[in-house]
Amino acid sequence: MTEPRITLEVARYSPEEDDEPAFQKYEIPYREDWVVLDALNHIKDYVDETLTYRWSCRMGVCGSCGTMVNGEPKLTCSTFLRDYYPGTITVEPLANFPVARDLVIEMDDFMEKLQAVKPWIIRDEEDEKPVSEGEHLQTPKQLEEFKQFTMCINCMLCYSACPVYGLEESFVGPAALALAHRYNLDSRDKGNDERTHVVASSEGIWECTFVGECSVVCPKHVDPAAAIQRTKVATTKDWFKSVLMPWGAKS
Amino acid sequence: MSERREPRSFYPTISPTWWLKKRSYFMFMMRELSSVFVAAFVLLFMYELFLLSKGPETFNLFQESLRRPLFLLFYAIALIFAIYHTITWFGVLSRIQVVRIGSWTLPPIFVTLSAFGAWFAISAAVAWYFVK
Repeated sequence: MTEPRITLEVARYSPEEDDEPAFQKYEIPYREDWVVLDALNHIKDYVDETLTYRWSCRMGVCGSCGTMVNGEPKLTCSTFLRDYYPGTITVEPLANFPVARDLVIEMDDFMEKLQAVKPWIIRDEEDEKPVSEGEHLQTPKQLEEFKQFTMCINCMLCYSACPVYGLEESFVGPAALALAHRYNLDSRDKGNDERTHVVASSEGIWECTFVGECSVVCPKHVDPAAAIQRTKVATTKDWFKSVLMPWGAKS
Repeated sequence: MSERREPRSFYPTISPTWWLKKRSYFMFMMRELSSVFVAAFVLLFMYELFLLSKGPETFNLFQESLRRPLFLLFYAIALIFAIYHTITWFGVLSRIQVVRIGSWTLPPIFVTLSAFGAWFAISAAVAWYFVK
């Protein structure tokens, strides 16, 4: 009996030689328990050592292995060959990002935007207490408020699915805005005002037209689209409060 | 393949027909387009209100002209788009607006159902008013 095989068409781009990416076909053994990353590793190990791509954890945690699989943003470590077999699988770099080589994209723009929203807990210095006084406690109810948005692994699939980001590179984007919302909701955080000039700018939440695909492709069910719309509601409320009650507008 | 050169990243461009490549993108664009028809309907309605100030003759004349097939087609398209716009927005309402009563968070399905319930109730009341 002949061994079942599957064809992968992988986008190749050499930054020293090519003007644009082109597909290269690889016919490899098919295993029912293989994910696309296993197939890429097989190609790298046994067929073509020049193939370049990112990966690390193999378990959907590190967010390194995002690519376009048959035109959809996917983590290659969580996308099984069996869902496409016997059809051909196309693997391309994440859409909307510059391609550095083969399946590797440049992520500088995302990293800058992520940093701009200050995705860490910001405290008021006057409210701060010494470490000796213990932790800043939080109830399960308070944690529940934002837990969904903590699941982001910065895989950038949401940026790849977002046509607004594809058309307007200045858009802060789904993951960064969802993380800003996550910290704004955290009962221990006092950084809302520090994030507002980025989050509520014209390149921030107001650029989003609620296509919603960011939430559809998110492998961690973060729902960045909901985070952005909720931030719109919250900032609008804050604005009205600042106009109607300028003496005590802080929420 | 061309000659070797200084490394240069490839910058992809998005096609003007990007919204035709995926059903969800197309439906999003239809939702955006629905606003045009809803806005046109509102403008027409406001114009009708304005004509009320010009007396019954002028108003009735314009009302008659609205019964032409072209206007009826416009009304039918505007109605379909308005319903589509409403359904899509009410469908995602519970993701946008978290409703809290004291420390209790209203389950998302109730937010959605209350929006649809209010829509049907108001529509039924308006229909009843005109039909009775």
